[in-house]
Amino acid sequence: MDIFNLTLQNEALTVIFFAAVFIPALAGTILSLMFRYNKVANLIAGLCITSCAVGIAAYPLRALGVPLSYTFPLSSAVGDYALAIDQISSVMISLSSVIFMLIVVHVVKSSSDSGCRYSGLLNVLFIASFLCMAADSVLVLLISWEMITLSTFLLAKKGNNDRARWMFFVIAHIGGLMLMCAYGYLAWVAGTQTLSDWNGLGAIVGSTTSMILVLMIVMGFGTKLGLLPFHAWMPGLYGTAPTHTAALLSTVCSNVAVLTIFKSIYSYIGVTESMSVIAFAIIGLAAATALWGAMESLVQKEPKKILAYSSVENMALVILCLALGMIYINESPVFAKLILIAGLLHTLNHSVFKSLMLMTIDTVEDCTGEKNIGRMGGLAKTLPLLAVVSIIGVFSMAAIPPTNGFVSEWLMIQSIMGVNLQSKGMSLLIPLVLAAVGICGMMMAASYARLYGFIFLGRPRSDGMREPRPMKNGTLLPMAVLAILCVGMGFFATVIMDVLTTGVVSVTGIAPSPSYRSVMSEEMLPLILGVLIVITSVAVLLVVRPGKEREVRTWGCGEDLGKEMQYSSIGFSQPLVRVFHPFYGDTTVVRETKEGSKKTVHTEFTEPFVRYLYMPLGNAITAISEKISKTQTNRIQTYFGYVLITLIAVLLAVRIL
Amino acid sequence: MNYLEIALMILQFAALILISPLITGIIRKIKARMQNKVGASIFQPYRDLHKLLKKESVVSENASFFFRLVPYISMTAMILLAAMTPFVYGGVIAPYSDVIAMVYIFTMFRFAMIVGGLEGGSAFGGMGSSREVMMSVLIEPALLISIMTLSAMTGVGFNITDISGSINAAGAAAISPALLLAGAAFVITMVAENTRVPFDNPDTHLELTMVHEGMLIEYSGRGLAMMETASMLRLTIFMTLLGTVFFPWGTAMTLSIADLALSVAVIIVKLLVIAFGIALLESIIAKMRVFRMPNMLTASFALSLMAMISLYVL
Repeated sequence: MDIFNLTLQNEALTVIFFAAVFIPALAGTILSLMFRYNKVANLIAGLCITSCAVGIAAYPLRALGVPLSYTFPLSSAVGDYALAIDQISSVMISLSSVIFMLIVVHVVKSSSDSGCRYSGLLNVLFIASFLCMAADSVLVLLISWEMITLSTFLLAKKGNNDRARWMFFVIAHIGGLMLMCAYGYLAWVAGTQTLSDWNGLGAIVGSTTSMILVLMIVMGFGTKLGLLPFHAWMPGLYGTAPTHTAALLSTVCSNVAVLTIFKSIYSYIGVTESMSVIAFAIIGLAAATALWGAMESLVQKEPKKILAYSSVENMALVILCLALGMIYINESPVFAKLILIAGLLHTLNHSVFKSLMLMTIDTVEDCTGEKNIGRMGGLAKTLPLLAVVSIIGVFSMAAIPPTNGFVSEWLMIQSIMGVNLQSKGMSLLIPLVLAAVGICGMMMAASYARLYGFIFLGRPRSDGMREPRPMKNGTLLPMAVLAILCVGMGFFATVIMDVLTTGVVSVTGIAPSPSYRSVMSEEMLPLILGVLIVITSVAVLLVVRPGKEREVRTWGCGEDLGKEMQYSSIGFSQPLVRVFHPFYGDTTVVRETKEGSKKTVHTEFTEPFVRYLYMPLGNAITAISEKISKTQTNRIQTYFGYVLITLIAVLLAVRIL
Repeated sequence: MNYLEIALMILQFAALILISPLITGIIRKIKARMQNKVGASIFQPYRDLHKLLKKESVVSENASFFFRLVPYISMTAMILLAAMTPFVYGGVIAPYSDVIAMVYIFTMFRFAMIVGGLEGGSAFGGMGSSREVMMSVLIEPALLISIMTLSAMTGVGFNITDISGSINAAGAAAISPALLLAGAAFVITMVAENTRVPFDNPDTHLELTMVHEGMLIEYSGRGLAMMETASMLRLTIFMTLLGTVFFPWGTAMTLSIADLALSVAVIIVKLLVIAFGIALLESIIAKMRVFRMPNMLTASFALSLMAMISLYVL
C-alpha cells in the first residue's frame, strides 16, 4: 500500500513538475504575442524566471527518486512525444536553468535588451532547451533543436545585422540537416523512436555506418558549438546580436548540444573498438578548432568577439574529451570515465564563467556605450565592483587555481597523461594532444589578460570611458552569484564530479568501480589546493602587510600622458601575430589621406575561413544562380517550351528504360 | 611520517626560500668576475630587499585594487611552489605535490604579472606584458610537456616526489633520450622563464628590449620587494627542480645522516654548477632581438615534444 502511494505521489510530482516548467513559459509566450506594452515585458520575463526556477528542481527531484518521465497525450503518425530525464540530463537541466534564470534576471535589470518580443522569445528558447535536454523521442529532440535555432535566430535581431544572422541560420541548418539524417536513420534501424530504448545501435548498423553517424552527429551539433569550419558565424553573430542572446547561445545551447552528443555517442550508438578511426578524426578536428579559436581570439577588436572565439576553444576542448573517451573506453575504462567527467565538468564550468563574462561585457557596453576594446580602459577605477566580479570570471576562464576553470583543465591533462594505451600508434597521440591543450591554454590566458587589461586597467582611451554611467540597480546580483559559483565550483569540484560519475556510468555502461578517484592524483583534491592557496596568501599578507603608500600620476618621461600614450590592445597581441603570421589572414593596408601628404597604415584581419571558404562558396552559388535565373524569361512561350522539352525528355526516358 | 621527517621538510622549505637571494647574488658575482669586475657582495640582494621593504610605495593613480594584489599573488604562488619542490630530502612538506598543479600555479603567477603590467597605463608595462605573452605561449607548453615526459617515463603518476624518487632509484638506467631531451627543453625553459640572457636582461630597466622588468616598472617599495623575491625564488625553484627532479642522483631518500650530508653537498654543487652555467651564458652571449626569441623557444618546445615522442617510439 505504501509503495503504491509512493509511486502515485511520484507520478503526481512528475506531472506537477512538468506543468510548473511549461505553463509559465507558455503563458509568457502567449502574452508576448498578445501585448506590445513594455510594462508587460517584465511580467513575461518574470514568467520565464519562474519556469527556470522550477527547472532547477530537476536534479533534486531526480535524486529523490521521482522518475520524471512523461508522455504527452498527443500522438503523431511517427510516434509519441515523450520526455524522460535521466541523471545526467537532470544535472545539465538544473545548471542550465540556473544560468538561464540569471541571464533573464540580467535582461530585466539591465533593460538593454528588453521588450515584449525579446522576453517572449526567451520563454520559447527556455521551453526548447528544456525539451531538447529532456527529450525521450526523436521527434521531440529534432523539433526542439529546430526551435532553439529559430528562437535564437529571432533573438539575435538587433539593428541591421541580417548578414550575421543569416549566416548563423544557414550554417545551423546545415547542421540540422545532418542531425535529421542521422537520427532518422537511427530511428529506422532501431524500429522505435523512443530514445531510451536505443542502446548500442552501432552493433546493428556496423562499424562503418556508425562511424559516419557519429561524425554526422558531432558535426551537426558542432555547427552550434563552432567546430571548424562551422565557427564562421560565431564572431559575427556574437558581435552584433544582443549580448544576452550570445550568452544563451554560448552557455545553454552549448550544454544542450554537448549533452546530446554525449548520449548519442555513448548510449544510442555505443562505442565499439573499431571506431577509433573516427575518434582520431574528431580529435584532430577538435584540436585544430581549439588552436584556431585561441589564435583568432587574440586579434579581435570587440570583447564579445573575443568571447565568441573563447567559446569555440572551450567547446572544442569538450569535444576533444568526448572523442578521447571513445578511444579510452576500450583500453582503460576508468580513464574514459575520468575524461568524460572532465569534459562534462568543463561544459558546466564554461557555462558559468562565460555567462558571467558576457553579462560583464553587456554592462560595460551599457554603461559606456563603447564597443571597441581599443577605446576602452580604466574602468576598474570607476566601476570597481564590476571589475572584481569580472576578474574572478577572467581567472576562471584562464584556468587559474583555485577557480572552476582550473579544475576541469587539470582533470583533462591528468586523464590525457595518466592513461596507459596499449598500442604505440595511439600513444603517439598523447603528446600531440597535450601540446595542443597546453598551447591553447596559454594563448587563451593571454587573450583573457588582454580582455580584462584593456577594458578595466590603464587609463581611459575615450571620453565615454572616463565617466561611465553607474551600473543599473540589480545588474550586479546575477553576476555576483555567478562569480561565487566560479569559485565555489572550484573548491567543491569533487562534489560535482561525484554527481557526474553516476551519470557517466549509467550512460556509458562503464563499471562504477574502480572510482575515478583511484586514478586521480589522489591527495590533491581541488579543495585542498584552494584552501592552501587561501592560507598561504593570508600568511603572506600577515607577514608583509601593505606598507605606506602614495598615489602619483604615472610617470610619462616629463610629459603629460595623453589617452593614446599607452599600450594599445592591438599592439598587445602584435608579437604573437607576427609569430603565427600566416594563420591570421592579416593584411597591412596603407591608405593615402585626402591631402596626399599623409598616409595611414593599419592592419586588417579577415577570418581566413570566411575569405577562402565561405566567400568563394557563396560567390560560386550566386554565380550559378544567376546563370539559372537567365532561363527565367518571364514569357509564357518560353515556359511552354520548357514544358514541351521536359515532356519529351520524360517520355523518351520512360521508353528507353 | 615521523616528526623528524616533518621537521626536516619544514627546514628544507625554509632553506629554499632563504637562499634564493643568495643564489641571485652568486650568479651576479660570478658574472662580474667573468667580466673582470669586482662585483657586489653575494649578500647584496638581501640588503636590497631589506631596503625596499622599508620604503614607502609609490603607486600610479590609475592602478586599481588588482595592482596591490599582484605582489601577494606572486609570493603566494612561489611559496606554494617552494613547498612542493624537493630540495635536500626527497619528500616535500606540502600535502600534495602534483606536477600539473605546479605548472598551473606558475601560470597563476605569470597571469597576475601580465595583468599587473597593464595597470598604470604607461607604455612600458604594456610592452612588457605583450612580450611576456609572446614568450609564454611557447614556454608554457614546453614546460608542461617536459615535466609530463618525466611523469610518463617513470609511470608513477603526477606526484613530484614519486617522480624524483623513481628516477633516483633507477640510477644510471634512467638516463634515456627522453630524459636528456626533456632536460634540455627544461634548461631552455628555465633560462627563458626566468628572463635571463639571451631572452631578456634582468639588469636593465628602460631598455626597449626588456620584458620582465617592463612589467615590474610600476612597482616600488614593498610591492617591488615582494616581486623581486618572487623572481629570485622562481629562479631558485627552477634550478632546484633541474637538480632534484630531472637529475636527482645524490638527493637523500632516507633519513640517515650520511645520506643527508651527501645530499646537502650534492645540491650545493649542482646549484653552483647551474649558477655558473647561467653566468657563463650571460657573459658570452648577447641578448637576442625580440623576434628572434620565438625560434629559440620553438626549439625548446620541439625538444620537449621529441622527448615525449621518443618515449613512445623508442
